[in-house]
Amino acid sequence: MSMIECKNLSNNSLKSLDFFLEEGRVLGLLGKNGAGKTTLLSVLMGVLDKSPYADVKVMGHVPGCWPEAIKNEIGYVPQRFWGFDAMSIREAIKTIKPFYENWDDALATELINEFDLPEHQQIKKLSEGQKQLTSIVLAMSFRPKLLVLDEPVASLDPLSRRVFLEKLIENHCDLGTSVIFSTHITSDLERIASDVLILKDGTSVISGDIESVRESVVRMKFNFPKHKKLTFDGLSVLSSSSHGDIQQLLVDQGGLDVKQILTEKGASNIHCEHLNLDDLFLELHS
Amino acid sequence: MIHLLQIKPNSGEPIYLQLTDQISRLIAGGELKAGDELPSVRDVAKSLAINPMTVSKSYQALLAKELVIRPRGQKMRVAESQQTELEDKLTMLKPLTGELVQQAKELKIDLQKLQLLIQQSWK
Repeated sequence: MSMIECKNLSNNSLKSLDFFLEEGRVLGLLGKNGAGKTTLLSVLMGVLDKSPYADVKVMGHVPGCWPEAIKNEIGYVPQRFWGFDAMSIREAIKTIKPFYENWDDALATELINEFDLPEHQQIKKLSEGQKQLTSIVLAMSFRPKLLVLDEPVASLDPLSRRVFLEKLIENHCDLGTSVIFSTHITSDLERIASDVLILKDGTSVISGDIESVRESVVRMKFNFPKHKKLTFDGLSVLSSSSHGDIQQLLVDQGGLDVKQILTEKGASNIHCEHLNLDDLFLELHS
Repeated sequence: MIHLLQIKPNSGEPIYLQLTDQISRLIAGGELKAGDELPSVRDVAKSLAINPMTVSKSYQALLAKELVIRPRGQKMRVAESQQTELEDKLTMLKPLTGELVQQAKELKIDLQKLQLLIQQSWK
């Protein structure tokens, strides 16, 4: 079953975006600031509007139109946690717990302890990082089937970040929770994601199984006579640059023998290199 | 043995390969012995904070290499080993030596000096 189906999603900042999230997968969302990550996650949560032509389903329903039972299977951690200001973490838990059938007190306590959160302090007095962790505790403790996390680690120190990743993976192993999360930390994504979606200017430039992406998308460096014109027809070129006779391409090979194709076009001395996500991201934006 | 495993998420080498290579080395070096249980996929995934599918993929690769076995309904165990040949052990080091030699050449260090350096760090 698809947890998320997104076809032809457009609005003010997104342009015909297509992607899927299958059950039990962990999707990492990458993109520069302003690329549309938060907009996308807000649309998925039914907080922001989309064009009427878009076909978006989250757990089988149009965002915002979930039956109560399904709504309670989606955990959401927005970029900025708000509300519950005057309450302590414990009081906030007491308030929201009755809405969730699967609320797990033991898990909530375990997370509070592992995150080292002051459970009796007023939420408005917590640091940004502690607020973010509180938001994570509230979203994970009702054991949702789908977790939507908007930069969940943005304000966390390295230690809390690591504990969070471990807890997320543990939860994923035990319950098969599907996850979509945005981040700027590519090493976290390499660790925990099974799929990746890279957004640029509101649309998807790379998406798919992370191993296949790393296998398929390569950087090619080669010599090509400056005075001749190199055409990319038939190739999926994601970015290109040249310095004199030396050309550099970021190509999605898509099963083609790109080296052979370039050789036929007159390229020589071809080097092909696999990239980590960090380099891939930089190369896409160069 | 989990504490012996270390991964570098940004190294460019797929994580499942890093794991497979490390466990292969632990077996070849005798750190893991025939009959030793491998930790569960869940435990490895959790303690390294990596996707469990990555760990499964690595375990599958170890099974395919016949370095481990999975008796019906039991945990994965290190296989009764044919001693790892010296040749195979050397192959495991090749990527590292390749890089070492390349960097030495970039620094214009000759073979003799490099050997000396290895000798010194051996102690």
